[in-house]
Amino acid sequence: MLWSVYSLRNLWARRVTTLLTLSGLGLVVFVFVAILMLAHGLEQTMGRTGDPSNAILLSKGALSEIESSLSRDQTGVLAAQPEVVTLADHQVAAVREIALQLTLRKRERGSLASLSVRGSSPVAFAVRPRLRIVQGRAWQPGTTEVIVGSQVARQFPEARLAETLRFGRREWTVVGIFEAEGSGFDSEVWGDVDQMMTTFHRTAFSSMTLRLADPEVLPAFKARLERDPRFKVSVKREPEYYEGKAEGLARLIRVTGLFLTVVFSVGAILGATMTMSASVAHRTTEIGTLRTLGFTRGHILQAFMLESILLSLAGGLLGVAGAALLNRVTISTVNWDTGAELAFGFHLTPGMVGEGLLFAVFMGLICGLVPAARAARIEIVHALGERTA
Amino acid sequence: MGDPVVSLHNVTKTYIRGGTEVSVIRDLSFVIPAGTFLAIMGPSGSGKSTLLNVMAGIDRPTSGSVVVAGTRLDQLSEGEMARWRARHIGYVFQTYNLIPVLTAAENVELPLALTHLTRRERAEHVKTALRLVGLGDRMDHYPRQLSGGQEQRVGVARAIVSDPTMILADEPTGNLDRESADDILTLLARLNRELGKTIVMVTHDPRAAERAQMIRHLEKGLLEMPP
Ligand SMILES: Nc1ncnc2c1ncn2[C@@H]1O[C@H](COP(=O)(O)OP(=O)(O)O)[C@@H](O)[C@H]1O
Ligand SMILES: [Mg+2]
Repeated sequence: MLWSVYSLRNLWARRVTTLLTLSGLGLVVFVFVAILMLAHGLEQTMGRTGDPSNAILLSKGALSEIESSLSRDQTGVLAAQPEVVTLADHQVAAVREIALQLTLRKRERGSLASLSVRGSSPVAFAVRPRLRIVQGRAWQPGTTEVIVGSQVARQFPEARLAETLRFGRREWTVVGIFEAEGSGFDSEVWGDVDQMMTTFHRTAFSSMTLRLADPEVLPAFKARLERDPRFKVSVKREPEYYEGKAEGLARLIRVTGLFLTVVFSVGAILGATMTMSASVAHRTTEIGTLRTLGFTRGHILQAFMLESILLSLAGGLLGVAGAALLNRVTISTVNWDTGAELAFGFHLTPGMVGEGLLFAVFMGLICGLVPAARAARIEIVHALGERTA
Repeated sequence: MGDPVVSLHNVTKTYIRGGTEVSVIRDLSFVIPAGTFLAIMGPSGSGKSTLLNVMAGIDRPTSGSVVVAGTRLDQLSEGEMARWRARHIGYVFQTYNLIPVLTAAENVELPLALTHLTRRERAEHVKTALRLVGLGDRMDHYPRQLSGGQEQRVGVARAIVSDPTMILADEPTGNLDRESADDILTLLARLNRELGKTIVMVTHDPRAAERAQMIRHLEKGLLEMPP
């Protein structure tokens, strides 16, 4: 009790140094937690995209929809598989789509932004039941009406009901805004597939997504189609496809983040070690006094370790508090794998708070060890002689 | 006067300085009976502090045996020595050596952190010790808010709070003005007379030494008997 009071007051007595040191440590923890939040947010977003009951079909060898091309004839046969759900109106739950990556000049500031556009058809809503139109309505087939994902609506001021988007040398009227549970679809613009194919001079689809009656049969379904020499397709479970698309970006965030954390932590740890060493040097007589009173080398070690850990923990709390401010902040970035603009959020979990503080304590242990050991090794007579000699 | 509290036998302390051996204490033997207030005098560099530190168990003799409060100090390990000090020695420093970030009460409480006393018992002891030195009203003052004389009185309170066998003081009045010095000496004399504490005080001030019951002169490592 008295011991922690002692440590805290010593930190307070040197509050300017303490503050500088703990800001350094705090910054490291901030970066560390922010990276965890970011990677987690990305995973959440991508993991939420797609439905495990759905299979996405791409041309063989294509890694993304952009590179893929499926002919009209091919998709006709592929949709007629027994595993595919038949809807109430005897239509099969299969949606043929084209995916486009467009560069758009934002109306407001004239800056260029990347936009993912999907040419689709109304059956898409049956294939992806989690998608909800929150404002307006769906597009009418055969028209240049479009609906926009909630993230697009947030980022493009012109993506409002009754406003128009201009791409492919045509005006597209926004008639609805949809939400897809924070998934990657939220960053897309959807419209009529035939209109888009005409506009962009396409004759082939990019992908076809099928809803299977039983998600369990997907591996067998996949094996059968991929082996069939007539098709030349690759089949993936929809969420796995989207997770795969974000893999590169997630790895980049993790590696960069880890690198930043390490670089910053080296600096911060050196700084804190120097602070603690100065504190030991400054308090040599005090150490001699405590030892004279009967405190052991172990007590001295403890006192300085405690001080170092409290210092780092305070820095950790500062860093976590800073990171908490990012909570629910949504950032938009370009997915390097696809070139698509993708919005995802920072999300702080109790686990990350724990990891951040644990990391802080770990740094405190490292910073304190050498100075505290030196403090414990001081000979009483030398320590006391320091001032009187 | 009771049994000896301190008994030194053929104690020698040498330092190696510049390749040659310098002997600070040479073959010193003496006893200090319990309840004595002893002043050790001598010129600067005569080895007074070294001798006191050997008795306090914070320095070790090069050879010879040191028995204090019934314990052979020269045979204790570091940790045993620390526990022994906590139990038997109250030390008063020339420069007070209060912990600047702790209040008077907290400074006095420090040695009690090494005991098994409860929080309430500790608070009681601290209050008693500070009242004894006349600082019952300065409990929550920090050292920088106290005068030198008051700081040293806190130092004395810290030395007696755990009721040690012996109080050792190294030039306790060395940094004080006459008046404050007299207060401290009066206090030490009272502790000796009223509580029967054995006190060994190192000083080079004859006026301070006069307040003790017994004076020994240390001259070049040898203790001279009084005439
Ligand atoms: N650690 C040490 N190394 C070398 N010489 C020392 C050391 N400590 C004390 N001395 C020497 O021992 C002698 C006695 O010192 P000290 O006991 O402090 O004397 P006093 O307290 O009587 O002034 C001095 O000459 C001092 O320089
Ligand atoms: Mg001295």
